[in-house]
Amino acid sequence: MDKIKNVLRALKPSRRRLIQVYAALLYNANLKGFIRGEIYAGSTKGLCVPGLNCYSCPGAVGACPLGALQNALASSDKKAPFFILGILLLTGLILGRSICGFLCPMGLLQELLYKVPVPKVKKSRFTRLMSWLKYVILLVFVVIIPLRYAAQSLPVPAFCKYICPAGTLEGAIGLLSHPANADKLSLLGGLFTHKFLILIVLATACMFIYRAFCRFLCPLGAIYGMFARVALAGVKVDRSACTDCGRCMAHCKMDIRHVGDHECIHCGECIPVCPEKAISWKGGKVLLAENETEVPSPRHVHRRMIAWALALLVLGGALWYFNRPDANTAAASTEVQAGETSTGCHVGDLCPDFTVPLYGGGEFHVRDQLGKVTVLNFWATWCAPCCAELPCFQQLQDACPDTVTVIAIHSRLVTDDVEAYLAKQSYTLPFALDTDGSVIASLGGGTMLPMTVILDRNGHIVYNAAGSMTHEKLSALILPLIAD
Amino acid sequence: MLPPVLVGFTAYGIAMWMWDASCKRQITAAETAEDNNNKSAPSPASKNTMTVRLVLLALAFLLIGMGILNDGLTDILMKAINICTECIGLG
Repeated sequence: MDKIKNVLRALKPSRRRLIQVYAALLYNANLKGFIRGEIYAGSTKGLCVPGLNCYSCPGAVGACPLGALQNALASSDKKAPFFILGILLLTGLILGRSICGFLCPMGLLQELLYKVPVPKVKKSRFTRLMSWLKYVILLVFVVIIPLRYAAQSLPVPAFCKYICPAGTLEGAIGLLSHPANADKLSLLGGLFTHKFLILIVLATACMFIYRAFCRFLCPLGAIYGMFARVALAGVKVDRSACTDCGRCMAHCKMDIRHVGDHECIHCGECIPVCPEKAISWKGGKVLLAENETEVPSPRHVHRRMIAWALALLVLGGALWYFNRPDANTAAASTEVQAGETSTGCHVGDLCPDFTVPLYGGGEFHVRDQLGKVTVLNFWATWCAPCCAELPCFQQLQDACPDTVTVIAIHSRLVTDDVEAYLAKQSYTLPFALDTDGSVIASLGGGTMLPMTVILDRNGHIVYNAAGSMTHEKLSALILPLIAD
Repeated sequence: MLPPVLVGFTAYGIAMWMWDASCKRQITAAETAEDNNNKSAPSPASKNTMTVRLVLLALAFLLIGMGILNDGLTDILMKAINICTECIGLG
């Protein structure tokens, strides 16, 4: 009986683990997204959650601060990134790296992986040296590369694109694992292989090394670490009581030099270790407990119960709100529209009829293009691969002006002055605007860019897929159609 | 944009280093002070910290306000409700 009790006691999650699970659930409250295989597109996505949680995850209900920062810097040639800098400053100031210790879903995942019973690598001078790598990644991949390409009007969120394991796991794998997105498997290429390998290496490393990604690579942790001295939440050390015995340092698995520094994630695991009770929570009088080693007073227990009740109420409300039956009806209405006109969005279907306004004046009517092969490219100025592939379409237009019609249709989501962007480029393609998003929706798209649809001379769809287009691929698709 | 950001990072680093040095000086001064009667009064270091917090808080709200005015919030929303295939590694 005692053995069972001991096992149960060992399995009992700590309060910090419960908060981590709570935050992961709250950040990914759109459970319906996992069932449908699509991302949430509501207004809460404009708010950045504290912690690394990819906004392309089907469950995500908020934006990733790191992705938002890179995109803001990548567009900094048009607009100063005030909002995201303000949000990072505010969250860093209030919570600091407590976010890493308590709220980050990637932190939770890494800690769970560390529970796998394999030999562990302890911290050393080498790991301490490696912990500076995340500052290099922050500077190079989050700041310099996006800014460098912003000068060429090319948005490149380099960390998301080349490194971020959260994007691969939550975004790419999260979406592709759903049968509804089976057609997207054709997109997978070298970039996915590269990112998948990074994910596998990091996941393996996390089994052997405590929070390997968080300690060595995460630029968001590097940003929050800058607020170590001023953050309102976290642990503090009473210097007058501290005897510098070093037990806290020896117990800590992070590469800290002292408790509460920029590497400290404020998990509070050093609090019960301190023999002098010199470590406690900042703002302990306001929060629920100042020192974990002390038996909480009935007042503290009461306040803790109220806090948990409120937190559960918020989570319940969020789960109901994001999963209520009437949300995300856009896809359903699109299907009805497609059915009414006996057209469709799949290969072999007749393309739905539509008219879009052209930049520079005039309109583009798809039915007017019958007799010619038509290429519809859906793009946006804020989408890096979209901007990168535009020259392919321009080349096609130049090569076959009489047999092929190419049109680039901008997403309804306009964040920049598209005409100003086009004025900087030398494209002669017709550019249009999908004013209300109905055109891309009628062709089965919506949230994934770039997207290309190719129609034969009779207006039937012969190709419809999201993902980057290359000149070779486009030629291979178009040449047989022209030859017919 | 790159030079101002690099200057900003450098300035931040220097400011933190100077602040750290200043805090250490003040803590030492406070510890060696003979008069320890007034223990309840906040130390100069904690006063400094509180000032920095208030300045940063004001700056955060100012930036957020300016961001809302220049549509920065909308930009984040636009990016978050659309999937950039390349950005999540799909290619």
